[in-house]
Amino acid sequence: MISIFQYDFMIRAFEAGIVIALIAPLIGNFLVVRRYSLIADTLSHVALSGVAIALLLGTQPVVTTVFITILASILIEALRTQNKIPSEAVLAMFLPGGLALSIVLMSLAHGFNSNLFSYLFGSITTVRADEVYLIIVLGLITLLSVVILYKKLLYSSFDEESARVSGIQVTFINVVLMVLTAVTVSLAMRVVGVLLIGALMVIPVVTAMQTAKSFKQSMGLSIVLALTEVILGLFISYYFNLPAGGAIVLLSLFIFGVVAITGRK
Amino acid sequence: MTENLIELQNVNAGYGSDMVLQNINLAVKRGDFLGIIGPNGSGKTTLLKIILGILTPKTGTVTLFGKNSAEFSGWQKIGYVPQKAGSNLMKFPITVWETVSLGRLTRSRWIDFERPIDTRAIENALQSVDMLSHKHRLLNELSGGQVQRVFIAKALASHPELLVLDEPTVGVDTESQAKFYELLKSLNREKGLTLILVSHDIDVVAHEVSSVACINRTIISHGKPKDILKGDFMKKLYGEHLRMVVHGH
Repeated sequence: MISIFQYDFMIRAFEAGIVIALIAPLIGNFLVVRRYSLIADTLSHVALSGVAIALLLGTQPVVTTVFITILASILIEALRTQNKIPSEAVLAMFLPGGLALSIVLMSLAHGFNSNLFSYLFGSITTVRADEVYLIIVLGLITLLSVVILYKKLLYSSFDEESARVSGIQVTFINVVLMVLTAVTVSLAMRVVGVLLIGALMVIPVVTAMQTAKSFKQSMGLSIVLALTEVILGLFISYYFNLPAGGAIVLLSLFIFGVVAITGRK
Repeated sequence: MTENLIELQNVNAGYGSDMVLQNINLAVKRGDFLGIIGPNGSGKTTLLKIILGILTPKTGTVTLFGKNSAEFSGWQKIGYVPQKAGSNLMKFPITVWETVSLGRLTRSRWIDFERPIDTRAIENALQSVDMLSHKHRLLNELSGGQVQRVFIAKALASHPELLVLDEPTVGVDTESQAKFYELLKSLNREKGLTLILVSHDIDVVAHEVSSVACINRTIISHGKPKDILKGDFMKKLYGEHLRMVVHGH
């Protein structure tokens, strides 16, 4: 048990993982009740373009990824509110679009390399100290934003029209939620990888919703579940030499299965 | 003379080039219980959107509580119960209390912590619709009639002077509908709340409201139900094929 914490990279993985386990379900709750769960997957594919840009320019991937996913999230929200294209079609355009852009940029960066796979599936051994600081700072900003705007986010998710009538700036709140989603996706990328981020934002939430007796309880339970899954997943990953992202997501699915069978209201 | 809470003068409104409403002139006085009826696509919901400030008219003036709607800031004075208010509830784990607490939100408050004054207002709102004992239950566990009562409580939580309801009883059983309209009448008569009710149910409008506006892209008629709901006006509104069957209550 002690040996796992002898390695700095494992301590960094736990630090980053705990921050992500706090904020991913926090945002995920609002996305799931809006039936917008696939936004996380879409933005994670766009995030790959951010990684490609960083590999091309030799810059910090988290920074370029945060920038490009925020840009994409604002564009997605603008297209969604115009009501000319169905919401799921907007996501279906951005998902392959993000992937296509990243493939082209990777090609310009003289082909794929092993570093790309660490972003695709997550690699706890490659999380650097400066990245952990960035994850902690941006994670705290995300957490604080949700605490401050909690009821406005809830009202806009529950009944957009009535929220608008109450004088709440729903458009602004929706953009904030998209930006927070983009930031969360960018941060989670290093631990679970871009292809598995959506799972961390959605599976603990739908598991919690099986038994939750209020929205607040759903938020609390989903955070507890995500923390448990990330911490246990990292242990499993270390002791069984498995990819952390895969271990965390499979564990989340297993817990969902158990709760769905045994824990129904 | 009773104050006009809402006044629309020569209002034209629509979406793009489609002018859904033409030359609308309408006044709602304090204490009124106004029913708005009209066929599908007649502009009822568009009219509500203008009253609620969601849609800006192309031309004409809208005065809310004596102020031009562009300058009006007292949106907490207007409570709103939307059409199909409970349609997004199936998988939404929200309680009765959480739902009603949303009615306390306003534009001016940035941090949304519940203050003691909010707790009292939520309790009073739930008490007035007889739903306080259900405060910890999930909304998706309630019947259609109970859900509508919760939505009224949400609208009442901000202490509105005007309550706007858009087809509030769609999907609610007949017995619950009767109780629901009793509640509306008591809010109107005993608490002096001004009500605007959009409904496709002419029978309900004939028996429950104090005045009726018939709309089909413009106001066809506006007055007391017994004067308005006569064959001539109704045929103008719904067409020559209309056959009126009036039930006694």
